Amino acid sequence: MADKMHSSDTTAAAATAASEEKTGARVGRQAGILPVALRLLVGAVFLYASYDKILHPGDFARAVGNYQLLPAAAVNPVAVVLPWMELLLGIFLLAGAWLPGATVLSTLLLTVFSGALIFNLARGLDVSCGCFSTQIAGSPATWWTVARDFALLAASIWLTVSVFSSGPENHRGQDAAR
Amino acid sequence: MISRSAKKALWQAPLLVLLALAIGMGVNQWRSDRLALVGEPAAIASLGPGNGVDEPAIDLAEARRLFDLEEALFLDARPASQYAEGHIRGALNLSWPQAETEFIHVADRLDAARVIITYCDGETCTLSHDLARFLTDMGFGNVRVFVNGWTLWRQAGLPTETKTPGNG
Repeated sequence: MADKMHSSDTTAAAATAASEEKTGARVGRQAGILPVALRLLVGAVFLYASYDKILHPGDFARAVGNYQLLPAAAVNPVAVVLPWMELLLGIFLLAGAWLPGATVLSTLLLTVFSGALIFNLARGLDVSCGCFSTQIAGSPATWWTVARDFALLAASIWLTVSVFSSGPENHRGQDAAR
Repeated sequence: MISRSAKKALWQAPLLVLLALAIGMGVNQWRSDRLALVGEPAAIASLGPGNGVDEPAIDLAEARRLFDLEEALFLDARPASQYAEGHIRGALNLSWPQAETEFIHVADRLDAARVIITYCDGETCTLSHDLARFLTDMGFGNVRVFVNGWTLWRQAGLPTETKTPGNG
């Protein structure tokens, strides 16, 4: 999959470069690299984050429950659906498809994640992050976890803004390559 | 440009959510270790024999009965700060995961207890389960989990205390 993404992005970059040379917009060329890099980064992180959760839904449900934010009845449904949401976002971001929807959702999810982490740290609850691993004992949530989440959130917001301000065409490789 | 992207986001985002919902629910239905989507909360569901651990949950009535008979040793699995703010009377504090090294200090009391009851707070709190599992693995028999213990105990107006029992 990674190879395919890579080649399509290279093609896309070439296509973008070509069109820019035609229009003489040399500044836009540099600006075009960062959104693609951020998009691939955020997409890869989502893809990676979904993997362990999809394999171990029971453990992930316990991690979700540990946050003690959701009503008990909502814990299992969220634990079942959320990992697939992350997987889909990862795939769509990597592929550069449906970017308006995918970037908005990714920003929304990362905001919720950050909020939940901060809320529990602030009230002194010792929760496991459950971000990338479902092993409850292994990864306690700390302010470092929040900082990591904020960095991703910043990337996602930037991506969303750039998709919305310039239209998805500049960021998307797939369609141009087809 | 902005309105065009916004319009796209308006149908793409919900569709992505629906897609995740369909795949998630569908796959969950199909897999053998599926989670119950309605009914039992995750923490209680995780008590099942599927986990290969024998740690039967007890309810308030049973916990109270054992408390009245003075047959059980209550173990508070929450952090020391929460324990200090209040706990079931006579309960010892054995915070998870520090218990892995700290349990040695209360090992005598654990050995002497006929029944060990672990608890924490909230239906989904798993500290008590982890502690119970650990103690069972250490060879202590008759370990029970009083799910949502602290809240249920307080709501029932049963004896609590804020200070630490003499030894511990």
